[in-house]
Amino acid sequence: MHDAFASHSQVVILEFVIRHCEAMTDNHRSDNFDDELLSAYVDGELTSEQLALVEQRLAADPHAAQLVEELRAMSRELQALPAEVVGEDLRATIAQRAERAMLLGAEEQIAVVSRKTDSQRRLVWATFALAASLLLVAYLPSLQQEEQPLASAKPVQGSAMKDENREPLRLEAAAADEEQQPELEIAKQRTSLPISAGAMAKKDAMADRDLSKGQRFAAVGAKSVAESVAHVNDQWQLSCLVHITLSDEDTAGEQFAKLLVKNGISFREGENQPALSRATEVDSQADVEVDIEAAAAAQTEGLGPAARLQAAQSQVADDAQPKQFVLVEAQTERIEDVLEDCNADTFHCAAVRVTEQQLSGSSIDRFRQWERSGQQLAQSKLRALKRSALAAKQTTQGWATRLNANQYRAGKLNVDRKLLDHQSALSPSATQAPIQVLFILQQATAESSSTGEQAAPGR
Amino acid sequence: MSDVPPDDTRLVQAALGGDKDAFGCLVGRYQDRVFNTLVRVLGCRDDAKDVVQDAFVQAFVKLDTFRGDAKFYTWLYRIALNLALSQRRRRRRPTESLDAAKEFAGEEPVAQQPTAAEDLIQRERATLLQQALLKLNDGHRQILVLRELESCSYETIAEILQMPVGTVRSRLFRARIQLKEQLQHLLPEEMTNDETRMTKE
Repeated sequence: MHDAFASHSQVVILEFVIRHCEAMTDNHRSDNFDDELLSAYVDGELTSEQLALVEQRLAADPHAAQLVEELRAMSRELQALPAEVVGEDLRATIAQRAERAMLLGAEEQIAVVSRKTDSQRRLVWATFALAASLLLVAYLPSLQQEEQPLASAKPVQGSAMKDENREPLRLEAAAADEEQQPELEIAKQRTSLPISAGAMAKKDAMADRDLSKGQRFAAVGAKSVAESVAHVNDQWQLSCLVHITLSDEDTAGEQFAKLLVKNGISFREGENQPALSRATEVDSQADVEVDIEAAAAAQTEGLGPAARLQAAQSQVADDAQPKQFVLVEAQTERIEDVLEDCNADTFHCAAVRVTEQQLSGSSIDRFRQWERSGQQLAQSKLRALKRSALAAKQTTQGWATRLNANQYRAGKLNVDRKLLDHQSALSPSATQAPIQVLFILQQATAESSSTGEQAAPGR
Repeated sequence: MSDVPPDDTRLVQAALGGDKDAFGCLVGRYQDRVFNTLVRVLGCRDDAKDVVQDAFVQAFVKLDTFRGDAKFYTWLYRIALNLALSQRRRRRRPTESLDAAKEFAGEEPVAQQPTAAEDLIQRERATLLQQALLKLNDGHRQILVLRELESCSYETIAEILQMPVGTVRSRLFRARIQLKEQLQHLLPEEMTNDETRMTKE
């Protein structure tokens, strides 16, 4: 009953509304009069001139007057709609949500800043020379268990070079003669001399020649490292070099990588892979000789400089040991942790030595406290304590860069930038300036060693 | 006791100074007004309640960007209507149904109201008008609600919707024409339904 009544009433109302509305479109088309003025007239939004114009129109045009009535009726209908109310006080709810939004907003802002910092850090990493840098030269001698800083390797006598155990012997001899021998040429260049056992056969000839000069040394890859450092310094000024002699354990390299990861420096495929323009690595001065000879030969064949370089390197490719250069960027404390772990891990890390580059004074001393020669294991006593402390430390972000060995030998040094998982953006350590570390992993293999031996007689 | 409530500007300044109660006063002052507008615009009480909260939260978070040269409630309305538009775009809620219109046609009639018949008429009228409103496009519905339900001046509407006053005038006129057309469409359908129901009875 009510429904029928309501519907009937509704129809009556709507008929009224529609009847008035229809007039709007039917009666105001004969001239340029703007119907919008009638709508604004109902709303009281006309200027005095417009008002006069509309009133004149309403007096002359009954349809216009009808339209105004229609608009007023529609307006009354709308204004008669019941006002909706929330039905509850929203203040507490809104205050709670607003506080949370402010906190989240702050975190987002911090995250944005952190992301900006990341990108800025990458830019700095590539261009800013003031950031502390480390070059870690990881060396994997093939048979050598002696924990001996490579830079302290000294010239050995030629007779020892013919011995099958020449490598350890040479190193032992070098250690024994450390106080008596003159400074190595490469040491004057403030670069250490990682020895590649795979190129030892070539060193035989070199050793004989150096002996005749009274300046023999069994340094392998010294030039390559020096040039690598120079190249890296083109983009990033290295503050110091850290040479880590890994043991000959097969897992030493893996353990070294784990050590990096443990300290918050993990390897992940990065987005930027800047390439160093030219190859720098040769294994020894003997290799340099080969390089020169090959270059000369290539020159006679009309090859360009790049081809000559490639030809020279292809000639020594068999002798070259698998090498890995990994540039890592991390906070100073994280680098210290790495060095500390290297120091403590006497099984995999035979020796640790730091050579200053840009870094000096107390800054370099922070790293040198973790130096360790083959016979010095004093710091290893801290191992258990520091390991437990490190385990509790929060890992932080950093980048690791691996210089692909194959590309390296092929004449192009590709730097694969690895971005560590973003984490602990809010940690205080994340705001510290990162340190860039270049690991140069040089691994000796039996094959290359034998190849080297075959190459030696030819020289 | 002649406690004059502080004006919006003073409350905003107090809120910016860390006075949470000041912003609470603004919420209490405008929550129903904004809610009513949003109900008409969105066609759903629940959605309107969500959006009105979102609007106040957003206003609080961005309060430092509020310029004193505008009125707080116009700024708040702009936030609320923008959020409402976003809400409708996301949900694509079908708000044209009569059921949806009836949802907010008004509270159930209670005693002491004029008469049951008058109340029914009012409810039916509200239902039909709301249904017609929901058939308008968002822009026309917004401007009609601001003008007819909120009694906003053209200048205020222009400020809220960020458009020239001339555009407000022309859009408001077109909105009214549209509403009239929607009412024309709705009437025969309702009449048919009514005839059917009367026949059954």
